[in-house]
Amino acid sequence: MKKLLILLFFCWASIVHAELHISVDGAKSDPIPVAITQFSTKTSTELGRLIPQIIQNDLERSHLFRVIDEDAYIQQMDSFDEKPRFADWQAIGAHVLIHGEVSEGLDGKVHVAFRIWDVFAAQQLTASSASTHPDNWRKIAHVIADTIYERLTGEKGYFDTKIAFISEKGNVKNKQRRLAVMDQDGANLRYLTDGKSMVVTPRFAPNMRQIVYMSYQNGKPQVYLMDTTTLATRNLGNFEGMSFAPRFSPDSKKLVYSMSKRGNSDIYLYDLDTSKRTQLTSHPAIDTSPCFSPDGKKIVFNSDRSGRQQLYTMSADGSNVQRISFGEGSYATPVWSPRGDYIAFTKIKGGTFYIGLMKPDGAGERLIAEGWLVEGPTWAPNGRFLAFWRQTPMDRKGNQSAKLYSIDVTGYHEQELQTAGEASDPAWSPLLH
Amino acid sequence: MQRKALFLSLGLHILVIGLMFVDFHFTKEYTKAPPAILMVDLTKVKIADKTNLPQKSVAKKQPPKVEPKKEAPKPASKADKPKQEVKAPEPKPQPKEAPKPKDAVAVQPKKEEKKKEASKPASKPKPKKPDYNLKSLLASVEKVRQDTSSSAPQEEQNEKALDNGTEGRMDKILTISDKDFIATKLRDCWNIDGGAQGIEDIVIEVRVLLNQDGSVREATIMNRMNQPAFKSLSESARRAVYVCAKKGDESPFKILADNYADHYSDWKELYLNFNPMDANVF
Repeated sequence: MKKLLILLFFCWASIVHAELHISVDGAKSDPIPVAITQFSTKTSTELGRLIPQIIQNDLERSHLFRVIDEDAYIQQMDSFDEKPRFADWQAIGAHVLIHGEVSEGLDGKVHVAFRIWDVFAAQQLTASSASTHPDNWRKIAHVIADTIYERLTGEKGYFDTKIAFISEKGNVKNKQRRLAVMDQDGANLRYLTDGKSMVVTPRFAPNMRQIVYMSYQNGKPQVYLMDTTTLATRNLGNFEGMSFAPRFSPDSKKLVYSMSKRGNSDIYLYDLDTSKRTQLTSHPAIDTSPCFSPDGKKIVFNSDRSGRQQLYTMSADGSNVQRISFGEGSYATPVWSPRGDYIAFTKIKGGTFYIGLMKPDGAGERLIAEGWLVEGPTWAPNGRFLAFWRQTPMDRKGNQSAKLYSIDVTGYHEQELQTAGEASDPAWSPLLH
Repeated sequence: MQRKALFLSLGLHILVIGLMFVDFHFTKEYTKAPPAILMVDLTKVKIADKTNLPQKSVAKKQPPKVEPKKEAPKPASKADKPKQEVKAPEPKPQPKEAPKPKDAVAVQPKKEEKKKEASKPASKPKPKKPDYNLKSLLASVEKVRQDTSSSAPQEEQNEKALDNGTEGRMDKILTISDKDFIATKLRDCWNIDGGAQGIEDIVIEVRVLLNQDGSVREATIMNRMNQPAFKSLSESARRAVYVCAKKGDESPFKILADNYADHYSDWKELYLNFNPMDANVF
């Protein structure tokens, strides 16, 4: 019956469709040319210039947008309500125009309104406004950049986010490692630990209330939780053996981590409400680096149970273990994309480190970055970009350099993330608004 | 149970067969008279420009000045009969009417003509002339041409046929190369985020209303899909139409205004199906 209906549909379609149809298959993926004017302002001229500058930096760093030089602009937008002369903006090749207004309210807050115009369709795509404390003006710029990004790409932005990382200072023999956090553009750097004990693998809770990490605070590696508001820390539990590689579940209520006992490492689940601990794997091989899928139903981890470190997935209760990587070399630190379509990992092959991607079933493996040591992939909250860290080999003077990088999921546009000094082990936060 | 299935099967078969007679448009072609053999001067008609040649040329009315019956068949070449080919004389000069050799490749001579030709005396033979078969074919072609409904000169006939053939749906009129030209131009104007999730499943239909000079009066997104990227992607497709239209002589729609001005009513409403499949980098 279904086939008959389809047949009838095609009969009908062939009769009634008499217009001219042309198929356009494929497109180019160049950055969208955008014009961002200075925001109109009656009081604070500085923010009228600074906020568009932050927006421009955010958009250009994504490599999905190309902001046209302000000197080319023909029309000066003096008022927020002024309608663009679209022909003038078309003439300079802008596809999209962004214009806004900054004002100070009686409540002492900064109010920012903005419009996004489709220059060629000659219509407004969206208009919005936001307000915040004057000291928080950078955040409002990031929020506007996220709105523009989402409106023009259809995906959530990632500009109003933070990156936690390990700030490194000193030489190899006496290196100080401190937990630090900064905005994704490098601003507002803040140190969260004093550097007296080594800290590694920080991870944000999806609700942003806590950071979990591994520290040698008590002399042996153990998992700690830090409140992001009060910076108070607590040991997850003085477990027998080492505990490491912790990550939150998508609902922020559980932790999955590795624990090593008598030389064997397995994966455990820890309920933060009940403090109940559940062993998920029980295998003589080393099982480590667990990470939840975004829906919380699966966990990806790496294990050497096949003789070499490979990636496996299992259900959240530890059942249904399936190997997903079969390539040459070793695979480590798998991280499930927030949008669920990829698993990022570190691969070691032939003495070289790579950052790679594969589908959750292991298909379509791609290597997108390489280096003497590249490690610790972490996803931007929109699943479109990754951050990782790269270390250079030691030079003759015994110096090494560790820096953070970001890269597009397409494998293009690798760029260094600006940090004060050396940095490793990045962890990208969820979107903050 | 089996009887029920039998009746169901029988009923469906009757329905499908009935639909074939009622709805299948291709069945209608069998009701038409077989199309006349049409000579195409390949030196004057570019294949790419006339790819959708006429289905209705036979049905097209002939201009009044053409009266096929009055024009008696012109004597064809005497080298028509195969057995006489060796001694075939130089054909009487008929340069204006003899089509070019490449035109005649698929045409077969008729038997009736052979009898007439055989009774005619042969001219002086030129034994080493190599193109006997060619001449035979030329003569046959000439005869065939005279037997067809039109007796107008070849060029005129071709022009008429082409004119006749450009009637009907714009899909038939627009040549493949022009269609490709428009699609390629639009593809160059369409700028998307190739890394966006799920775009490979998205198809956007944009209806474009065009002015007579090829400028865009209106571009409207006609469909909706649930993918998060659809809204921005569909807007980028609509933007591509406007961006392309603003490119002056480089506009993909200018070719419609320039080459198909007489068919404005057929292309003033254009449907574009944008499919980003090739842009995905994965």
